[in-house]
Amino acid sequence: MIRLRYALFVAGILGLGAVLVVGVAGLPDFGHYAGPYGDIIARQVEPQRHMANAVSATVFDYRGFDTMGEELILFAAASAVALLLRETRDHDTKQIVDAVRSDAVHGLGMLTAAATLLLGIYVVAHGLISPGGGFQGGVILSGAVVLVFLAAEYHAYARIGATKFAEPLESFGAGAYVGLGLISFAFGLAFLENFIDLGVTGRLRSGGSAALVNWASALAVAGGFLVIFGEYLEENMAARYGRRT
Amino acid sequence: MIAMLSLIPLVVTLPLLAATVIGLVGKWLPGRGADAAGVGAAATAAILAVVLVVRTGHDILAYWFGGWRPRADGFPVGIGWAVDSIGAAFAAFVLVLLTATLVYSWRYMQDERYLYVVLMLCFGAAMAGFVLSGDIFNMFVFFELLSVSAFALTAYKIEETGALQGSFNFAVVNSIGAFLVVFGIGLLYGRTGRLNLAAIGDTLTSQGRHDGLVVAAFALITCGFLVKSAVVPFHFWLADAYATAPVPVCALFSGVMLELGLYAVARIYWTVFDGALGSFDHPIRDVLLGVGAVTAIVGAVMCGMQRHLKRLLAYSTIAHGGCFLMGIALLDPDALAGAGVYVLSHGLAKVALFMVCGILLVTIGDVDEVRLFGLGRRLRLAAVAWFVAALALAGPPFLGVFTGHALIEDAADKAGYWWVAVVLAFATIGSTGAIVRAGLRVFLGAGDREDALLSRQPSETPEPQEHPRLGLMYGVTLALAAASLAVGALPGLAARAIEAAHTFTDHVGYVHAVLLHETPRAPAPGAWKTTTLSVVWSLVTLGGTFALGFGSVYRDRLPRPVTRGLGAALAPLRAVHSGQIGDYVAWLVAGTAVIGGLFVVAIR
Amino acid sequence: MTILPYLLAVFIFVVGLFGIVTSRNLIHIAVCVSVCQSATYVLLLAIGYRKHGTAPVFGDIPTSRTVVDPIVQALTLTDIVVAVAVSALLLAIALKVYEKKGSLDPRDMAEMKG
Repeated sequence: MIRLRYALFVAGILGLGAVLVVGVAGLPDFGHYAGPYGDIIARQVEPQRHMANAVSATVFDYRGFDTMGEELILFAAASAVALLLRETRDHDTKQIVDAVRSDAVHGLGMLTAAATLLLGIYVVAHGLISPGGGFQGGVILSGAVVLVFLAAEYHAYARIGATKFAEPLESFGAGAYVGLGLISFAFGLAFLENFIDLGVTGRLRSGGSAALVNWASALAVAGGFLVIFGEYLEENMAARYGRRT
Repeated sequence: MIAMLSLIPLVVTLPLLAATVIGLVGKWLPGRGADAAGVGAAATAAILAVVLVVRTGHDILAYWFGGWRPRADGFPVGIGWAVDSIGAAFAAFVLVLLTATLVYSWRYMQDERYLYVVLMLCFGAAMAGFVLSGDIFNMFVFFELLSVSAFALTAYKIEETGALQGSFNFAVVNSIGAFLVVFGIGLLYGRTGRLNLAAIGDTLTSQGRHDGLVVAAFALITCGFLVKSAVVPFHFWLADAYATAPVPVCALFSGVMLELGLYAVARIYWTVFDGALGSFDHPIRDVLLGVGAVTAIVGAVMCGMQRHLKRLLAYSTIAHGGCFLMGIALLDPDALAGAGVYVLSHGLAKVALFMVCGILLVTIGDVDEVRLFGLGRRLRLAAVAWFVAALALAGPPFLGVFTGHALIEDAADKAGYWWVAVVLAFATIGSTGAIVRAGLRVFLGAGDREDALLSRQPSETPEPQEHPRLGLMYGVTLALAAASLAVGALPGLAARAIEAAHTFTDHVGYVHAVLLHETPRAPAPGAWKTTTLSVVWSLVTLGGTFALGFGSVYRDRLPRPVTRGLGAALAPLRAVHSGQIGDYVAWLVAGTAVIGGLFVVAIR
Repeated sequence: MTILPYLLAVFIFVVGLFGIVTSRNLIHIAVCVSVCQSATYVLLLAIGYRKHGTAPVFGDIPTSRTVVDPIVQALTLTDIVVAVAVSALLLAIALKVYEKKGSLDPRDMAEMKG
């Protein structure tokens, strides 16, 4: 049976590979992107939107609606992982024994976590004027919380509320994204259309309501990653320290 | 006009907002609160969508997110939705069924009920967004949102290995399908530098090239979406997933999710490729008709071997999916209208049938035809719903799927494909005959308990219900079953569908409506008369279905050599459905190679 | 005339598919799905590349500078989130299968067939 599968695959992949090669052979030569979509955005982003980062402008403004879908995908995935790993959700955390760590690991780790948190905030805040943005910054923010677990073990991680705030944070971020769209709506504008002053290019407060959208997505991403990480962690802890009581 | 336009995003964003709010407060919300919020949001969106259908008329409404209307030269810088009456009707159908299933599952789920509601809302809203979108990457985003929600809902019953198997295979196969779509999108973007369907189509038409890139993009996008529609040989995941997902989820999968992939194929063909590849309609028609026919036949044959009722219904959905694809593949507005009407009555009937399975699970705790033998006698209302829905699927004259079948048969006949009618009849008789057979055994205890031809499956645990409301469940099920039968007789539906299909297939009209905001020209009033031939085919199908159904319950009495011969003949087909993800992906690769290869070779 | 980077995307995709078809471990399959998805990032980013182009961030460079396409980068970002979602889900299912069966072999998971 397995031989048949491999034979089928080899025959198939030759055909599929051929179709793919025929397709990419028709693309413009590498390095000769022909536009026009990207060029139009790159040219008009600064005068029109007062944003320096054309990628963020695409993500949060011109194609901001795609990003709303993206945040909801993350929201759905986080809900899905919570649903699948639900058995271990309310297990007894008192039995969990933190491994003994050196004070050096603890101290340096917490310092790194604080620095990472700061970096995350920086990357989100400057998302519209320099490389970065809500997604990248959100991932870094969640990394800061994970660092707390790595450096100071489970109880410290639980003490800062990571097990409790992740899910509401995720829902709030995704909901705020949709909500911002509806606020534009309430102003009689199109869904997700800019509704505040665009500001001055290069300043922290520039880009109009896309800046708010940027923050909403940062919260959603940070929350989403933390929910997924947290659910896996609980699963692991439950496997090590017994099932729910 | 303005007020109507602003309805468009609300249809999708309201349920999504509700999902996030339920996610935010869900932990503290009593289960009933989550149910109520879910039903409320879905019902509101459904009402908005129905209003949208009524107000759209023959127009194509363009809505630009972020206020990014196309520039003066017609270049769209943002994301646009383009709502025509078929898209709006599909969205409304999705949301109505979502509301029905949420009402049905009132207090039905036990664990983490708010997460179930959250995922159902995401799933339904994403499907509605997918059909309304006029931007190819935005379609992909909603496609992924609905897929991720669907994978999770499939695995809801984590205590069953089968549910995990179904969900894992579903997720892997469908993700690969989505990658094929992204490859296709990449190719189109590299060539045209656009993502809006109308803009890509317009550019491809004016470039006038139909080289390898365009054909490969068409092949990859078509195959990618056909994975979702489970055409042979991409269909293996479907039976595993449908058999194990909770009943309300299966109902939505069968009623609308499979059809969504076909919708995407049709939408993208007519908006993007019709201009560039329109002169090659002949090979495209032949290939897709062939795929549809094989799917219809395989699905119908597999139906005859199932004793697990949900798996049986899953194969029946595959068979009908093949028939829908044939309706689209004829590349004819009348046949497309037929497929649309067909989807409507099939969806209602299939949802009702799955809901009967849910009632069986709640009251008896099983969905196995043989173990349930005669046990359904006291469930009279469930029996009524089962047989009414089966009747609708058999398509008696002027009821149920009749109109859809007749429109497709007429168009096929006109185009010289006489055999399409034969395949439609075969698929309907085979799949619906099996539904009748199972109904006879379960609800009437008719025929023999033994049946060597049926595949053994692991037994299903009862649904994790808390305090299901049987009254509500019966009400929704019966209403949908009755609607599925009645929808075929709805006066003017066929004519309206034909008009809508003409707007849908008008490539130039779509491009102008979206990019230049021109009102598309009104289609000629839809005219269609039932022919005697359709009635004859319908009677053949109806008679065949019930003859097969009644005959099948006694098929164990056939002489041994005959059943053994049948079993041996079907053994390879059975063996191919191995439950192994590696096999499924190998088939997917081979299928894409064959379909894509045929397109590349045939379109020159 | 060079299409080598596009061919690289095709190659990565094929390798990922090979891994899925031959795999005997659910976690390995989940990783192979990510490999296939990476092929799409490579393709999208390669399509938007422009010779001597720099990042489309106009903080320190004049708007007249040649830049690569910002659109494909935005698309890739969305694609990555999709990958995160799918991986998270597949791994969660694999974990549950392991809990139940004590094995990650897809052959032990296949209960339904025919």
